[in-house]
Amino acid sequence: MEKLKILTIALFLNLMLMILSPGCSSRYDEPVTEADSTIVFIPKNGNDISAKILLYRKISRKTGQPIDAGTVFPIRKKETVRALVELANRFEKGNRNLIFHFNWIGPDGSSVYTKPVNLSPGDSASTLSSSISISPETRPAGEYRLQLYLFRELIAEKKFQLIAESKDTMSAMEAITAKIGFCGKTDKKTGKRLNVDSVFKIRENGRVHAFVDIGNRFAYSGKELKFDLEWFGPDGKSFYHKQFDLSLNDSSTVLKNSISIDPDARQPGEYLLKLFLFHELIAENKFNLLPEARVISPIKKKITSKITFCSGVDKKTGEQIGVDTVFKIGDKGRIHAFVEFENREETKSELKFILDWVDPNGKSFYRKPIGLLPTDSISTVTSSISVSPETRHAGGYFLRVFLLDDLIGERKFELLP
Amino acid sequence: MSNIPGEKQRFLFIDQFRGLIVILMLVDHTSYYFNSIWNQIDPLDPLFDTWGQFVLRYVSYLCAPGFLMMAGAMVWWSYHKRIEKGTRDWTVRWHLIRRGLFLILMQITWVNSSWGGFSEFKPNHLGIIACIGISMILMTFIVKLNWQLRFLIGLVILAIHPIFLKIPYDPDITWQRVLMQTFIDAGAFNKYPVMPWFALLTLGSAMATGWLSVWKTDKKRIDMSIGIATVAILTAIAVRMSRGYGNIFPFSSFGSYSFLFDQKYPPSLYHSLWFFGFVVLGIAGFIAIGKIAPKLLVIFTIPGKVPLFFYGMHIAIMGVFVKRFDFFYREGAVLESLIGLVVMLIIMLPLCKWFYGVKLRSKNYLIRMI
Repeated sequence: MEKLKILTIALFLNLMLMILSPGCSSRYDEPVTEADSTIVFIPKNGNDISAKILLYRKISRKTGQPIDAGTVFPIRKKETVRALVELANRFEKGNRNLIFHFNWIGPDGSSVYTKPVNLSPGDSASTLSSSISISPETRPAGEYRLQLYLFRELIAEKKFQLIAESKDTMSAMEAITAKIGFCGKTDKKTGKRLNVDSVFKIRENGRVHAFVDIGNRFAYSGKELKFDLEWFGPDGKSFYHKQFDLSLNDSSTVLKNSISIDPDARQPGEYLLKLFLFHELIAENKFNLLPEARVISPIKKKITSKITFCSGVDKKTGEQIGVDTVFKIGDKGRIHAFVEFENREETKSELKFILDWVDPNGKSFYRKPIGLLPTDSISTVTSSISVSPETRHAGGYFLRVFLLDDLIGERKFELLP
Repeated sequence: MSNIPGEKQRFLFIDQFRGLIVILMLVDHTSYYFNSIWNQIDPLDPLFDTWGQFVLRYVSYLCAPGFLMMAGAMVWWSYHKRIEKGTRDWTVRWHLIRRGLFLILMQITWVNSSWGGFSEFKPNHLGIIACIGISMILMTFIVKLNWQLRFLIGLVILAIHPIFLKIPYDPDITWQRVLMQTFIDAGAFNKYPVMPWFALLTLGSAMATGWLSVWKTDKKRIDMSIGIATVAILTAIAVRMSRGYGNIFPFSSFGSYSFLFDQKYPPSLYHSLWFFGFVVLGIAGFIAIGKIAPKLLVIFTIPGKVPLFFYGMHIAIMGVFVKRFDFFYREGAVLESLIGLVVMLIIMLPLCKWFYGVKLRSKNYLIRMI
C-alpha cells in the first residue's frame, strides 16, 4: 500500500513537472531569421515540421507562380497581401491531422484575422495559403506580422509593412530594395543565370551580364519607376549607362544589362555597377576582370613554369620546408613560392616575368616583377607573402605567372583559418 | 478544520484552496489587463507565441473547475448543516436558490460592467458567476441524493456533453443563441455553459461528502483524494490519447503543450476530467501542507473566505484604473502581468481581511451573501 502511494505521488510530481517545465515546448525559444526574413522557431527534433513564409501580391496568370513578392506593400483598393507557406517535413507526424493557424497581426498588436487550417493525413498538400485585404478602408499603414502556428505553437513569423498609397518618390525609395549580381552567361531558353561570379576573364566576344533583383517593386504607385544603371571602369570613370522606365503595368522585378569584355574594349581591374532610382543611389556591386589568356608566341610557348609552395626555407641549405598546397593562417606565418622556368635558355633577350598573387575574391594583392637576362644562370625565382590573420582570410588563393602579359602558369593553394 | 469563536464551522483546507483559486484567477486577470497578447487572443481558439504566455494562461485553467467544485462542496455542506440544525427542507433549498439568483443578478449587473470600469451597463450576457448561480439552483434539486448518485450524475453529464455539442444552432438567432450558450455551447453570450460546469459542481458535492463528512482523518482524506485524482487523470490521459470522443482541439504528442491545452470554452471531456483530477489532488496537497507547513498557506486563507468579494472587487479595480483610465492597459507582457499581480495582491489582501471582518459582524442580508 505504501509503495502504491509513493508511486502515485511520483506520478503526480512527474505530471506537474511536465506541465511546469519548458519541455512542453517542442521548439527552441530563440528564433532564427532566415535569408528570406522569415523568423523561424527551430524544432528541437530536427526532423519536425518547419515552414517558410512568402508574402506576395499576385499570382502570375501565365506561370501560376507568386509575383510581386516582398515585405512592403502599398495600401490599395481591392488588393490583398497573400501568404504562401512551404512546409518542410510535412509528413513527419505520420497518420495524423495537423492543425495550423495563420494569425495576421496589425500595427497595434491586435489580431486582424486568424485562419485555422486542418491538414488531414490524406491531404498531400505541403503548402498553405492565407490572405488579407489591404484596402484603405480596412487597413491602416504600419508594421504588420504574420504568425504561423502548428498545434498552437508558434513555428514561423514574418514581418511586413503596409504603406499609404503614395506617388511620393521618397517613400518609394525607402521601400524598394535592389540586389545586384553578375554572371558570365544566361541560358537563352530559360533565362537562367550561368557562371554567377564576381571575377571574369577578358576574352574575345565575351560579355558580363548584370542582373538586378528589385524587391517591393510595387511600393510605388506613381506612373513610372525610373532606374539608371551606371558602369564604372578601374579608372573610376563611367563608361556605359542604361535607363529603365518601369510602368505600373510592367510586372517585371528584374533588370538586366550586359557589357562586352572583349580585350579591345576592357582593361583588367576592378569594375563597379551602380543602380539609381530617381537619380538616388540605391545599390552597387563590384566585379573584377582578369587579363585575357592570349595566344603566346612560339618561343614563349616553350617556356613553362613549375610552381611549388612551402611554409618555410632552411636558411642554411635553402631547402624547402613544409611543401604543400594547404596552409594555416597564423601569426608570423609566410608562404614561399618557388617558380622554376624550363626552356628559358632558348631565348636571347631579357624575359620579364610577373608573379601575381590573387586572393579568394579574384583580386590581385601583390605583384612581383622579375627580369631574367640570358646570362643569368638561375632558372628558379621565389616570392613570399605573409599569412597572418590581419592580412589574409581563409579561402582559395592563386599564384599566377605572367611572361610579359601572357599567363604561362598558375597554381592554387588553400588557406585555412 | 478551524473553529474561530463567532465564526461558522469552516474547513481551512477548503478556504485555502479557494484562496489559491482566486489568486490564480488574479494571475489571469492581471494578464488580461496588462498583457498585450490579449489584443490578439481569441479565448475560444487561443494561440500563445511563447511558453511563458502559455503558462500564464494555463495555470488559470484550474480556476473554473476549482470554483465550481468548491461551490458544489459548499452547497452540499450548507444544506446538510442547516437540515441538522432543524431548518425545514424547502427553507434550506429556497435559501440556496436565492443565493443562486443573487449570483446571476451579480453577474449581469456588477460583474459584466466592472470589466470595462463601469463605463457601460451590460446586462445582456452571462459568465462564470451566473453559471455558478444556475448550477447552484439546479443542485438544490439533487442535493439530498447520496454521493454515489451525485457522482454518477456528474460523470454521465460530462460523458454525454460532447453529444449535445453536436446540436446545430444559429448563433445569430437570439433564442437559439441564448438557449444553447446558456446550457451547452460557449460563445459571445456566455462562455460558461451550465451543462459541463454543473457536472463539475455535482462532482464537487460528491467529493465534499468524503472530505467533510465520511473521511474522518486527514490521512484518509489525502489517501482517498490521491487515489481518485489518479484515476481521473489517467482516464483523462486515455481520453486524450484516443484523439477521438471527448477531445476538441487536436494535439501533436504526449506532453506537448497542445496535449495539455484542449478547449475550455466549452470544456472538452478531457479538460473536465483532467482538471477535476488536479482539483482533487490540490485539495489533498493543501491538507498535507496544512499539516506539515501550515504557514505556507496563510496567504490563501483570507481571500478564500471571501472569494466572491475578491472576484467582484479585483475586476472592478482593474476595470476602472487600468482600462477606463487607460493605465498601461495591455502594454506589457509576462513580467508586467506578474508585477501587476503583486500590486493587486498588496491591494486585495488587506481589503479582503477588512471585508471578512465586516461580514462577520454584519447582519445585512446582502453583505452576508457576498
